[in-house]
Amino acid sequence: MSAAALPSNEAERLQALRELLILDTPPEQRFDRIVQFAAEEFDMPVAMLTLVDQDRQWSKSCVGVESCEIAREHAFCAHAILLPEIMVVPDLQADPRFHDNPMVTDGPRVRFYAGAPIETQPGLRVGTLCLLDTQPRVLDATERVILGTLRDLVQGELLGQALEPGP
Amino acid sequence: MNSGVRPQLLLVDPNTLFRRTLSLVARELDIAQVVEVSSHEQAQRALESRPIQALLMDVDERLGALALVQLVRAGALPCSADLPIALTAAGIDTATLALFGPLGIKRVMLKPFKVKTALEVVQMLVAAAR
Repeated sequence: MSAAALPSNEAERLQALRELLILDTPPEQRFDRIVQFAAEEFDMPVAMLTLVDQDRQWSKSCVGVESCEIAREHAFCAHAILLPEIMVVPDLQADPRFHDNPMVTDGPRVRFYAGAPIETQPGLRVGTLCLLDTQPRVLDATERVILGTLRDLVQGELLGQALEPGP
Repeated sequence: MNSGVRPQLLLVDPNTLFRRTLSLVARELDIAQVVEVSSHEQAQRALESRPIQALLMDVDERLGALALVQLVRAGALPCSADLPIALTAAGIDTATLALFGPLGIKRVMLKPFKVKTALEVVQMLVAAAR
Protein backbone atom coordinates (compact mmCIF):
# COMPACT_ATOMS: atom_id res chain seq x y z
CA MET A 1 0.00 0.00 0.00
CA SER A 2 1.33 3.45 -0.79
CA ALA A 3 0.26 6.22 1.55
CA ALA A 4 -0.56 9.42 -0.28
CA ALA A 5 2.13 12.05 -0.64
CA LEU A 6 1.54 15.27 1.25
CA PRO A 7 0.37 18.17 -0.92
CA SER A 8 3.11 20.74 -1.47
CA ASN A 9 0.92 23.33 0.28
CA GLU A 10 0.05 21.05 3.22
CA ALA A 11 0.53 23.62 5.99
CA GLU A 12 -1.56 26.18 4.16
CA ARG A 13 -4.15 23.49 3.34
CA LEU A 14 -4.48 22.46 6.99
CA GLN A 15 -4.83 26.06 8.01
CA ALA A 16 -7.64 26.52 5.48
CA LEU A 17 -9.33 23.35 6.77
CA ARG A 18 -9.18 24.51 10.39
CA GLU A 19 -10.46 27.95 9.51
CA LEU A 20 -13.66 26.30 8.28
CA LEU A 21 -14.38 25.49 11.98
CA ILE A 22 -16.11 22.30 10.92
CA LEU A 23 -13.91 19.47 12.20
CA ASP A 24 -15.61 17.35 14.89
CA THR A 25 -18.89 19.27 14.63
CA PRO A 26 -22.24 17.42 14.66
CA PRO A 27 -24.00 16.31 11.46
CA GLU A 28 -25.87 19.03 9.57
CA GLN A 29 -28.88 18.56 7.36
CA ARG A 30 -27.52 20.91 4.68
CA PHE A 31 -24.65 18.49 4.04
CA ASP A 32 -26.50 15.25 4.80
CA ARG A 33 -29.11 15.89 2.11
CA ILE A 34 -26.47 16.34 -0.59
CA VAL A 35 -24.57 13.23 0.49
CA GLN A 36 -27.81 11.22 0.61
CA PHE A 37 -28.76 12.57 -2.82
CA ALA A 38 -25.38 11.45 -4.18
CA ALA A 39 -25.75 7.94 -2.74
CA GLU A 40 -29.19 7.61 -4.35
CA GLU A 41 -28.21 9.16 -7.68
CA PHE A 42 -25.35 6.71 -8.15
CA ASP A 43 -26.89 3.70 -6.34
CA MET A 44 -23.86 3.61 -4.06
CA PRO A 45 -23.94 1.88 -0.66
CA VAL A 46 -21.56 4.48 0.76
CA ALA A 47 -21.25 8.23 0.16
CA MET A 48 -19.34 10.66 2.34
CA LEU A 49 -18.28 14.24 2.77
CA THR A 50 -14.73 13.78 4.03
CA LEU A 51 -12.15 16.22 5.35
CA VAL A 52 -8.49 15.24 5.32
CA ASP A 53 -6.89 16.39 8.56
CA GLN A 54 -3.22 16.14 9.54
CA ASP A 55 -3.29 12.47 10.59
CA ARG A 56 -6.85 11.39 9.92
CA GLN A 57 -9.78 11.52 7.54
CA TRP A 58 -12.93 12.73 9.28
CA SER A 59 -16.40 12.63 7.73
CA LYS A 60 -18.80 15.49 8.26
CA SER A 61 -21.55 13.47 6.65
CA CYS A 62 -21.80 9.81 5.71
CA VAL A 63 -24.32 7.39 4.29
CA GLY A 64 -23.81 3.66 4.68
CA VAL A 65 -21.01 3.67 7.27
CA GLU A 66 -20.97 4.22 11.01
CA SER A 67 -17.35 5.15 11.63
CA CYS A 68 -16.61 8.72 10.64
CA GLU A 69 -12.84 8.66 11.15
CA ILE A 70 -9.95 6.63 9.74
CA ALA A 71 -6.19 7.05 9.69
CA ARG A 72 -5.00 9.31 6.88
CA GLU A 73 -2.57 6.63 5.68
CA HIS A 74 -5.55 4.41 4.83
CA ALA A 75 -7.68 7.14 3.28
CA PHE A 76 -8.39 7.06 -0.46
CA CYS A 77 -9.39 10.72 -0.18
CA ALA A 78 -5.83 11.61 0.86
CA HIS A 79 -4.89 10.63 -2.69
CA ALA A 80 -7.89 12.36 -4.26
CA ILE A 81 -6.98 15.77 -2.81
CA LEU A 82 -3.62 15.73 -4.59
CA LEU A 83 -5.20 16.69 -7.91
CA PRO A 84 -8.07 19.02 -8.80
CA GLU A 85 -9.85 16.46 -10.99
CA ILE A 86 -12.28 13.80 -9.82
CA MET A 87 -10.36 10.62 -8.93
CA VAL A 88 -12.03 7.39 -10.01
CA VAL A 89 -10.60 3.98 -9.16
CA PRO A 90 -12.81 1.39 -10.90
CA ASP A 91 -11.30 -1.56 -9.01
CA LEU A 92 -9.20 -0.87 -5.94
CA GLN A 93 -7.99 -4.48 -5.88
CA ALA A 94 -6.35 -3.94 -9.25
CA ASP A 95 -4.67 -0.67 -8.33
CA PRO A 96 -1.13 -0.98 -6.90
CA ARG A 97 -1.73 2.04 -4.67
CA PHE A 98 -4.68 0.42 -2.93
CA HIS A 99 -4.73 -3.36 -3.46
CA ASP A 100 -3.39 -4.09 0.05
CA ASN A 101 -5.17 -1.24 1.82
CA PRO A 102 -7.01 -2.66 4.87
CA MET A 103 -10.23 -1.04 3.61
CA VAL A 104 -9.87 -3.27 0.55
CA THR A 105 -8.47 -6.47 2.08
CA ASP A 106 -10.44 -6.50 5.36
CA GLY A 107 -13.53 -5.00 6.91
CA PRO A 108 -15.65 -3.24 4.30
CA ARG A 109 -13.72 -4.75 1.35
CA VAL A 110 -14.24 -1.66 -0.77
CA ARG A 111 -13.69 -2.20 -4.51
CA PHE A 112 -14.76 1.10 -6.09
CA TYR A 113 -13.87 4.67 -5.21
CA ALA A 114 -14.73 8.02 -6.76
CA GLY A 115 -13.81 11.25 -5.02
CA ALA A 116 -14.43 14.82 -6.11
CA PRO A 117 -11.98 17.12 -4.32
CA ILE A 118 -13.37 20.08 -2.40
CA GLU A 119 -11.39 23.27 -2.87
CA THR A 120 -12.21 26.10 -0.52
CA GLN A 121 -9.48 28.39 -1.83
CA PRO A 122 -7.52 28.11 -5.08
CA GLY A 123 -5.27 25.06 -4.81
CA LEU A 124 -6.32 24.22 -1.24
CA ARG A 125 -8.25 20.96 -1.34
CA VAL A 126 -9.54 20.10 2.11
CA GLY A 127 -11.55 16.94 1.45
CA THR A 128 -13.89 15.24 -0.96
CA LEU A 129 -17.41 14.24 -1.79
CA CYS A 130 -16.80 10.56 -2.37
CA LEU A 131 -18.62 7.39 -3.37
CA LEU A 132 -17.66 3.81 -2.48
CA ASP A 133 -18.97 0.43 -3.51
CA THR A 134 -18.10 -3.16 -2.72
CA GLN A 135 -18.29 -3.96 -6.45
CA PRO A 136 -16.05 -2.67 -9.25
CA ARG A 137 -17.78 0.20 -11.07
CA VAL A 138 -17.22 2.87 -13.68
CA LEU A 139 -18.51 6.43 -13.93
CA ASP A 140 -19.33 7.73 -17.39
CA ALA A 141 -18.73 11.32 -18.46
CA THR A 142 -22.22 12.50 -17.51
CA GLU A 143 -21.99 10.87 -14.09
CA ARG A 144 -18.67 12.60 -13.48
CA VAL A 145 -20.30 15.94 -14.25
CA ILE A 146 -23.15 15.13 -11.85
CA LEU A 147 -20.69 14.17 -9.09
CA GLY A 148 -18.69 17.33 -9.74
CA THR A 149 -21.85 19.41 -9.54
CA LEU A 150 -22.86 17.87 -6.20
CA ARG A 151 -19.32 18.55 -4.99
CA ASP A 152 -19.73 22.19 -6.06
CA LEU A 153 -22.92 22.40 -3.99
CA VAL A 154 -21.11 20.99 -0.94
CA GLN A 155 -18.29 23.45 -1.54
CA GLY A 156 -20.80 26.29 -1.71
CA GLU A 157 -22.32 25.23 1.61
CA LEU A 158 -18.87 25.08 3.21
CA LEU A 159 -18.21 28.60 2.00
CA GLY A 160 -21.59 29.85 3.19
CA GLN A 161 -23.13 30.25 -0.24
CA ALA A 162 -26.87 29.66 -0.50
CA LEU A 163 -28.21 26.73 -2.50
CA GLU A 164 -30.99 28.83 -3.99
CA PRO A 165 -30.08 30.48 -7.31
CA GLY A 166 -30.12 34.22 -7.63
CA PRO A 167 -33.06 36.05 -9.22
CA MET B 1 -23.25 25.19 -29.59
CA ASN B 2 -22.39 28.30 -27.63
CA SER B 3 -24.24 29.44 -24.56
CA GLY B 4 -25.86 32.28 -26.49
CA VAL B 5 -28.10 29.87 -28.39
CA ARG B 6 -28.85 27.35 -25.68
CA PRO B 7 -32.61 26.78 -25.50
CA GLN B 8 -34.36 27.88 -22.34
CA LEU B 9 -36.11 25.08 -20.47
CA LEU B 10 -38.43 25.84 -17.58
CA LEU B 11 -38.04 23.41 -14.67
CA VAL B 12 -40.84 23.41 -12.12
CA ASP B 13 -40.09 21.32 -9.04
CA PRO B 14 -40.34 21.91 -5.28
CA ASN B 15 -37.05 20.09 -4.55
CA THR B 16 -34.32 22.74 -4.51
CA LEU B 17 -31.43 20.27 -4.54
CA PHE B 18 -32.83 18.42 -7.54
CA ARG B 19 -33.50 21.68 -9.40
CA ARG B 20 -30.05 23.09 -8.73
CA THR B 21 -28.28 19.88 -9.68
CA LEU B 22 -30.18 19.38 -12.95
CA SER B 23 -29.81 23.04 -13.85
CA LEU B 24 -26.05 23.13 -13.24
CA VAL B 25 -25.40 19.83 -15.02
CA ALA B 26 -27.45 20.91 -18.06
CA ARG B 27 -25.44 24.13 -18.19
CA GLU B 28 -22.11 22.35 -17.75
CA LEU B 29 -22.94 19.95 -20.58
CA ASP B 30 -24.25 22.85 -22.69
CA ILE B 31 -27.62 21.16 -23.16
CA ALA B 32 -29.98 23.90 -22.08
CA GLN B 33 -30.33 27.01 -20.01
CA VAL B 34 -32.59 25.88 -17.21
CA VAL B 35 -34.91 28.42 -15.62
CA GLU B 36 -35.82 27.11 -12.17
CA VAL B 37 -38.99 27.73 -10.22
CA SER B 38 -40.65 25.91 -7.35
CA SER B 39 -44.35 26.60 -7.97
CA HIS B 40 -46.87 26.74 -10.79
CA GLU B 41 -47.54 30.41 -10.07
CA GLN B 42 -43.86 31.20 -10.59
CA ALA B 43 -43.90 29.00 -13.67
CA GLN B 44 -46.70 31.03 -15.23
CA ARG B 45 -44.82 34.25 -14.57
CA ALA B 46 -41.70 32.77 -16.19
CA LEU B 47 -43.71 31.67 -19.22
CA GLU B 48 -45.15 35.18 -19.50
CA SER B 49 -41.79 36.93 -19.28
CA ARG B 50 -39.08 34.69 -20.73
CA PRO B 51 -38.57 32.97 -24.09
CA ILE B 52 -39.18 29.47 -22.74
CA GLN B 53 -38.82 26.70 -25.34
CA ALA B 54 -39.51 23.56 -23.28
CA LEU B 55 -41.14 22.67 -19.98
CA LEU B 56 -40.37 19.96 -17.39
CA MET B 57 -42.93 20.22 -14.60
CA ASP B 58 -43.82 18.46 -11.37
CA VAL B 59 -47.56 17.76 -11.25
CA ASP B 60 -48.05 16.64 -7.69
CA GLU B 61 -50.24 19.71 -7.25
CA ARG B 62 -52.34 18.45 -10.10
CA LEU B 63 -54.78 21.30 -10.73
CA GLY B 64 -52.17 24.03 -10.93
CA ALA B 65 -50.14 22.02 -13.41
CA LEU B 66 -53.17 21.11 -15.49
CA ALA B 67 -54.34 24.72 -15.67
CA LEU B 68 -50.90 25.85 -16.77
CA VAL B 69 -50.62 23.24 -19.53
CA GLN B 70 -54.11 24.16 -20.72
CA LEU B 71 -53.10 27.84 -20.90
CA VAL B 72 -50.03 26.93 -22.94
CA ARG B 73 -51.97 24.74 -25.36
CA ALA B 74 -54.67 27.40 -25.73
CA GLY B 75 -52.05 29.87 -26.89
CA ALA B 76 -52.80 32.13 -23.94
CA LEU B 77 -49.13 32.63 -23.05
CA PRO B 78 -46.28 34.15 -25.07
CA CYS B 79 -44.59 30.74 -25.55
CA SER B 80 -45.44 28.43 -28.43
CA ALA B 81 -48.71 26.54 -27.99
CA ASP B 82 -46.75 23.50 -29.16
CA LEU B 83 -44.20 23.84 -26.35
CA PRO B 84 -42.59 20.41 -25.68
CA ILE B 85 -43.73 19.37 -22.19
CA ALA B 86 -42.78 16.48 -19.90
CA LEU B 87 -44.17 15.88 -16.43
CA THR B 88 -42.81 14.45 -13.21
CA ALA B 89 -44.86 13.02 -10.36
CA ALA B 90 -44.49 11.00 -7.17
CA GLY B 91 -47.46 9.01 -8.40
CA ILE B 92 -50.10 9.50 -11.03
CA ASP B 93 -53.48 7.81 -11.36
CA THR B 94 -55.36 6.97 -14.52
CA ALA B 95 -57.83 9.80 -13.98
CA THR B 96 -55.02 12.34 -13.90
CA LEU B 97 -53.35 10.77 -16.90
CA ALA B 98 -56.66 11.05 -18.73
CA LEU B 99 -56.75 14.78 -17.99
CA PHE B 100 -53.26 15.33 -19.38
CA GLY B 101 -53.61 12.79 -22.19
CA PRO B 102 -55.12 15.13 -24.82
CA LEU B 103 -52.57 17.87 -24.04
CA GLY B 104 -49.63 16.47 -25.98
CA ILE B 105 -47.39 15.50 -23.07
CA LYS B 106 -44.17 13.93 -24.33
CA ARG B 107 -43.31 11.93 -21.23
CA VAL B 108 -44.31 11.34 -17.61
CA MET B 109 -41.47 10.47 -15.22
CA LEU B 110 -42.37 8.83 -11.92
CA LYS B 111 -40.29 9.70 -8.86
CA PRO B 112 -37.80 8.72 -7.70
CA PHE B 113 -35.72 9.12 -10.82
CA LYS B 114 -32.11 10.04 -11.33
CA VAL B 115 -30.69 13.35 -12.49
CA LYS B 116 -29.15 11.41 -15.35
CA THR B 117 -32.60 10.24 -16.45
CA ALA B 118 -34.03 13.74 -16.15
CA LEU B 119 -31.15 15.00 -18.24
CA GLU B 120 -32.10 12.60 -21.03
CA VAL B 121 -35.64 13.98 -20.92
CA VAL B 122 -34.30 17.54 -21.02
CA GLN B 123 -32.30 16.61 -24.13
CA MET B 124 -35.40 15.10 -25.73
CA LEU B 125 -37.48 18.21 -24.98
CA VAL B 126 -34.79 20.55 -26.28
CA ALA B 127 -34.46 18.51 -29.47
CA ALA B 128 -38.23 18.67 -29.95
CA ALA B 129 -38.14 22.44 -29.48
CA ARG B 130 -35.76 23.01 -32.38
